[in-house]
Amino acid sequence: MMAEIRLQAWLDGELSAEEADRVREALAESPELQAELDALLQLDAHVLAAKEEGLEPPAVRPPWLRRAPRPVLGLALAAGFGALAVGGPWLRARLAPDPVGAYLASVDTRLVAVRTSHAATDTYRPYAPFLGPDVRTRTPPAAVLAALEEDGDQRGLAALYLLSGRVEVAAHYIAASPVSAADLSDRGALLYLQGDYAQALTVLDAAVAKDEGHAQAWWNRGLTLEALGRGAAARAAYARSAALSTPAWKAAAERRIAALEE
Amino acid sequence: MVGSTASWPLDSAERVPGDAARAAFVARHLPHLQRVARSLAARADQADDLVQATVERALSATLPFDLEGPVTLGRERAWLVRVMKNLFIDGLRKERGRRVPLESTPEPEAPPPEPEVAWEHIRMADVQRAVERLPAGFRDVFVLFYFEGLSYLQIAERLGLERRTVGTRLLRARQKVRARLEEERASRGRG
Repeated sequence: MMAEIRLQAWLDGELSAEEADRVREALAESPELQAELDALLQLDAHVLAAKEEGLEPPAVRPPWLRRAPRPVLGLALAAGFGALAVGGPWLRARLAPDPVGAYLASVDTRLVAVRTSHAATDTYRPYAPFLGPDVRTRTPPAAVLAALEEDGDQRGLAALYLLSGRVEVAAHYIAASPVSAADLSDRGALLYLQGDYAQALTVLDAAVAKDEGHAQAWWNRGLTLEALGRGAAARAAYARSAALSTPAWKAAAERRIAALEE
Repeated sequence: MVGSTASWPLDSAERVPGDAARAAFVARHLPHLQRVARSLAARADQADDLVQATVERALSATLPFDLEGPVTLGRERAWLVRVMKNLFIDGLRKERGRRVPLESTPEPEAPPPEPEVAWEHIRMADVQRAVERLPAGFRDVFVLFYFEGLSYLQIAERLGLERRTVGTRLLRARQKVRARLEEERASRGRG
């Protein structure tokens, strides 16, 4: 999928000149990319021709509709849920109880030590790396993954897979060239879980430099420093995270600090 | 090398009496061809050359449709764009041939995969239905990109998304529209 995304970004004029040159080099050698370029150009031609012929596009939804808080709507309408069956797929999709929220409410442990920047998934859950003998992963329900996929929620998918201990799958959804503090924090968490502590620290340093109020980045930085044997620096990072976190995460950070002081 | 690209079809119409329909055909797609060439080529002069080569081919080639018949704007444009893409890829290959020594040039590649959509049979109504059927999160990005001409960053700001998410959603939206265009076309036969 990455190759297609880069090809598309190149065609849409969203890449730097150097990146664009690399795409052209790849195109010269790949019949698959050439076929993908053909499909993109054909689609552009038909859509823009239709636009010139007067095709009226569907309206872009107003902000209040785009940001409808699905769990609340779901609860409010739960009593009359049967009526939704006649509302068509669009109405059902907007008003059905939130499958992501419902699933996350049912998960009571996390299988990795890191925190993610996806707010809904970052609720404190005790770290329990084993579900049973040799069981270190769980599988999120397909409906939950589909809902995140449908929303294009890359960060949510990454967070859910990390919460489930599925680090290699999560890696597909974590930005390779992070810019925002949130993406840097998630990238650092991934590198930590992959055992690349030195690189993780570099990325997490950049995350907290970008946003020193990022509780998850400070937490992940604490973990990384701990793995590097830098106890004092780790304690300081946990303390920064504790000061920025919910009571449950604050208590967890304080337990980490206490353990390092022993 | 090329001064005003917009004058070629008109010049050609004067050079080839009786072929005004073909010159008009090229002229009505020239802005789109120029835009596509600017996306494909690394430099402005290469983009101009690509447009010129495409126009020359379009003015001399046997067309796979009848300009006097019920051909759609989309069909015409799709054909022209494919001519341009083929010229562009040929140019890339030649460029690579110059850079890579002959003995290390790989064996001829496998033929490209068959197109997943029978593009020559797609109609405006297919496009309309395919776009309308997109899930809302994808449709918003698709409409802002194609119909309002916004950049990824502008779409991200408008919808409160990350720029990266706009790229992912646009890719998915395009894939979904492609799949649905083929469904729409297949559902009404080859007509």
